[in-house]
Amino acid sequence: MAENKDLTQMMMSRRQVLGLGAAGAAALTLAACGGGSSDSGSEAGSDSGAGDAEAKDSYKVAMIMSGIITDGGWDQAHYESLQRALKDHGKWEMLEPHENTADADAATAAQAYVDQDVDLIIGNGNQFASDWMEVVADAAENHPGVHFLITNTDPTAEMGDYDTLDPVETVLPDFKQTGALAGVVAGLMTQTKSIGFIGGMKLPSTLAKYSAYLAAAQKIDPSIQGQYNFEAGFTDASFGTNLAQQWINTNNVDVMWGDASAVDNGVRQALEAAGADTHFDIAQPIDIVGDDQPTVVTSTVTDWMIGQAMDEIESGSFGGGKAITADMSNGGITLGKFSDKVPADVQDKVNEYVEEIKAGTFLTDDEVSKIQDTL
Amino acid sequence: MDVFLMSLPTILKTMVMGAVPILLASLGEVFSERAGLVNIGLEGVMAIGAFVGFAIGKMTGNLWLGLVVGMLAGIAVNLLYGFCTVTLCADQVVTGMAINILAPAIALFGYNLFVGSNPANATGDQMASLAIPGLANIPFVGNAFFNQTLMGYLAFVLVPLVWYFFKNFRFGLSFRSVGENPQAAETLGINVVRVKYLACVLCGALAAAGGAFLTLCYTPIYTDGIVMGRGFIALATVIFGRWSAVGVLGASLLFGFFDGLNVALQAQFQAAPVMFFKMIPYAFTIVALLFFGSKHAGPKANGKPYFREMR
Repeated sequence: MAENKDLTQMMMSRRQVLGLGAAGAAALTLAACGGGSSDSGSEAGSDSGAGDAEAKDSYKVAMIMSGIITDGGWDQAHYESLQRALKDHGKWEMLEPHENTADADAATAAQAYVDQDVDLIIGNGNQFASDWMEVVADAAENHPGVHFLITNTDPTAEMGDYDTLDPVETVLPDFKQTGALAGVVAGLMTQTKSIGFIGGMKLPSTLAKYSAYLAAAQKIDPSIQGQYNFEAGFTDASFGTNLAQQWINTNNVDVMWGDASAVDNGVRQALEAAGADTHFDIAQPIDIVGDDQPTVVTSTVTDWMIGQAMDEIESGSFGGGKAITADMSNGGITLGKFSDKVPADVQDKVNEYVEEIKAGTFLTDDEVSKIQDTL
Repeated sequence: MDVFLMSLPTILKTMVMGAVPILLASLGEVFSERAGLVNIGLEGVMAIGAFVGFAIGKMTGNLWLGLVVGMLAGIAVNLLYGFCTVTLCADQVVTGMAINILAPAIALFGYNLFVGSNPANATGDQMASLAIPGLANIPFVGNAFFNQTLMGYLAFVLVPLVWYFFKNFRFGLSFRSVGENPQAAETLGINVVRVKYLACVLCGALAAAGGAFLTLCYTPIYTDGIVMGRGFIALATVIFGRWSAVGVLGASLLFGFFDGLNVALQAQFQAAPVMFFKMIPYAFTIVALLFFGSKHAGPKANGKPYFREMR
């Protein structure tokens, strides 16, 4: 009897292993397929090397992303920036983007592209700066034709521990300009003098954007009050709905600007429920104004300057840990289309302020710092 | 105090809205655990329901069809759990975890295909709220309880039905006996395996409906991770609710209240560390489990594989 029981337990174990192994393998396979593939089997181009100006016939670029290309926010903005750059750079070919890359997989994903000698590897966010130190060191030593572009990253503050920055550049948007553009629109559109902002994570860039946003709105009307949340995450749309509802009901917020991807969708739901003719959203970082977004009055749009990085690689001037600034002078920061809910006179005023923001005369650094110091 | 009173209607609205997906998944888990199956794969089943409901609703324009197909998808995934745990007698906890890995991966794969081919598919449609005349205007509670989607109302109507089923139906008694002592139930002529599979079907359908509520009634989008731990919260509410439909309703509303309170505090105390407020619903869950998570409570054969030949 005891032997039979042992035998049964052994059989159970085997069944468990078979059943669970099959489920686990299927899950991993699907996760890999769902997240895109890094092994596209592309042949590497010949080495160009940082500082090597020898022209090549073809180049390859790969993007490693924290989310998916259809998220309607951060990742989609990067993907669209890459698409725009490819249109102007006929020699460049894009490998399939590596989507949904967890921090733990970031270095492995980059190494796979390094091993293929891909000319440009783009990481779409500053988390890649902390993940790629060893990959960059290896590439600098053994794969001189590989270059790295990491967006939203300050190389001085965030990459100080790198052994070498020879194959690396970063992109830093002008957060003051982005925030100021949203701020003037919010300042001119609000009727209740109460505006809100949701950020996914409390990063220096988030604080800088909100500070410029509120400073610009208060420049339009000093009585405007700002509500903020910097820790909303990037996936829980229902949280965005609930938080915006709370602000609408208790603080009379009628204009929102979001920096939290899917959470922003939830915010727009709450604004729509409160009345799409009186409650407005400013989208970012892609232009999504349209009939299917009844609350969105305009968008602050960021281009991640990938074309400039490609030009530098072709000319051999890429690297050295430089930061490419994306701002209004080079098309890195723009204001998107207006919806028909923005009256013509308001559009004219916004356009006047846009020129002042571009010229750097609208807001001073002190005005922004004054708000940022309180956060 | 004034701020709290001003926030209260929104807190209650958040409470009721937030309670519905947890309630649906919890009711499913009640069926499962009453039949002796601890299904910790609720999170994964909800993810499948959320995506399939969203995609079918968007494709056909019929949100109810989205709900039904989402529930069918949940049943299919949960039958995989049933096959592993009932037929193969695999460990229920490990199988549930495998479902939690597998199902969201399937959903993400499907989402990439669905939206990747047409970015316009990223935003779906949403069920409209139905205000009950008169009741919806009651101060504070009216808008929260009596201005919901039809799916929300149906979720609450399920509670007395499930309670009545377990209390007064012969088949409900069969469920309970299978969860308490399947060998004894078998000797009384109850087909234990059939009851367990039926529990899987009901659990899959209800958990998937909870997920579909998120994309059909809460927000018109699907994102990877949209379930946000609600499947695990549902597991805790079943224990807190003492494996009864009415108890589960109370636990779901209580969790929803703390979630609403968390949002209200985040909205009003911006300078405070928001992580502290975010902890509130989960801290409540842990405290509830401390008091109600006794090993001696619940169906006696819960979590144990059933071997027909074993004495």
